[in-house]
Amino acid sequence: MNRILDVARLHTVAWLNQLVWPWLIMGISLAVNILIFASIDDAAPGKTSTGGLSSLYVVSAIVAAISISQVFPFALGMGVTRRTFYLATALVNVVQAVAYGVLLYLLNLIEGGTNGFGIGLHFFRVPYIDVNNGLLQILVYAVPFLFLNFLAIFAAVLIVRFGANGLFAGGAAAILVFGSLGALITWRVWWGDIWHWLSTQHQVSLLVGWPALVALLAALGGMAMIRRANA
Amino acid sequence: MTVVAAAGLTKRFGDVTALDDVTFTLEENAIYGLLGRNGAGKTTLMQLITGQNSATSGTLTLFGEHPYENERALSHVAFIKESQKYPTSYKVRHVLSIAGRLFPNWDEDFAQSLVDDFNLPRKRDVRKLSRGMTSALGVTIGLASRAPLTFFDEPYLGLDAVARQLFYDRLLADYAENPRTVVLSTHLIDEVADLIEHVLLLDRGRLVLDARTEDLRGEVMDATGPADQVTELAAGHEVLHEERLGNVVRATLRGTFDNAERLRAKKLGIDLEPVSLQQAVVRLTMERKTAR
Repeated sequence: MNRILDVARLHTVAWLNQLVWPWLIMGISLAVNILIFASIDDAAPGKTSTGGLSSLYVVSAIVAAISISQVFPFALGMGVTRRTFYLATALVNVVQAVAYGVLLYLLNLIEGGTNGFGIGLHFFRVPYIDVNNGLLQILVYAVPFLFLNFLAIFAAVLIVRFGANGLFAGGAAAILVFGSLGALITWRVWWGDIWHWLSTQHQVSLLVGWPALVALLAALGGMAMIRRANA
Repeated sequence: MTVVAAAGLTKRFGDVTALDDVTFTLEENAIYGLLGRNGAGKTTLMQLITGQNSATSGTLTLFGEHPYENERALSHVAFIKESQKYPTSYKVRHVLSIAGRLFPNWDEDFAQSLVDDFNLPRKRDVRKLSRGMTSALGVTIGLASRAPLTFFDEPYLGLDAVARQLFYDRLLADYAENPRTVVLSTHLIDEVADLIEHVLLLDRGRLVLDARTEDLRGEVMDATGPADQVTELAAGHEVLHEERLGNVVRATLRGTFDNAERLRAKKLGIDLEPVSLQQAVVRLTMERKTAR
């Protein structure tokens, strides 16, 4: 375990890139949104929400992917095993997701307390993912980080293991599988049933349960692949 | 104690055989020279030993264990290579701080003194280092890690002559105080000739020489003298090379040259002198080529 913590430092030693970029970009997005909504005299009711928060998730996923392609060859050169490197990477991403979840929850409270930064803006309290339970809200914020980051890590491991061709082949396979699935569903007229199933899912399952399951599968897949990868 | 044991080690990349049935051992507390031309398989061999790649066939143990994905064995190995990639967000001090955490025997004071010796800028981004500075950073990690098994895969290509001498001096001084197994892979054979105690020579994936440097020195000789006499002396030896200038022949011979043999050469009017390690290696490599 100590070794894993030491290896986790590989991701955090140059914390500037790891932490600053995602939040800086989200901060800019927030500032721009405040400016835009403040300059609109009377926004239509219920139209004061924005998707600016997604920038934080996207940039954080990019950082996760880069951390694989950059740090893995260095870690291997320093005598770290692939397994330890991957476990350390997973640990960093899980801890980070929870910490970011807590931070976003605090920002959520600030937004609520200031009546949407004084202009009724819904930046952190995005409709549907705004739940009335502190702990659940933290999870709702945290799990999408796991979902996106582990998918990004999976793609990055694909490149480390098989090169760019591996990524393209993986993408092609995904399009083939999901495309055929879509065609099958359309052909059998199953969409209605699927929407029904989705709409009867509990909010917690949709926001936390299912994404967490996908994240776990991606994490396990990445682990299996990296064991035979060479820098 | 045996640090590395390889038997019948073979590595193929597609239809290219990078290592071909290589068998040798590395013993504790010795400095090895891993020599050979470009593409001879030196880096591949080191990659296999350090678990960066897996062998096609043959057996390999590192500290008595299989190296691939072996945390315990690998934490005792430092593999310093010219091609080492560093994360672009890292500064020099980040690399040193990470190395300090990962190598159990890391000596921070030694590392800092090397950083000063090589004038490494601690706060500079690693990707902005010159080639020489990148090499110096690698050398610093390799020395300060004090790993029981340390590989230097031509990490000093970017170093100028003064910095290389600094490296050799520091290595030798620290080796005397903290004996360990060091493998130097290099082209600059004459520069390291006084450093290395044992030579491993690879040629096109095959191990063509595995000998103590001292033994090798007495084993390969240049014999210069009249053609007939040199031919007579050469009869009992392996002729690696022969040059003729008029009636004078200079032959590079391999074999045992004991006192009786030296006396015999003297009586034949042959001048017998040991060749440099570099010459011996060149002759041994060339001889194999012409023998095919």
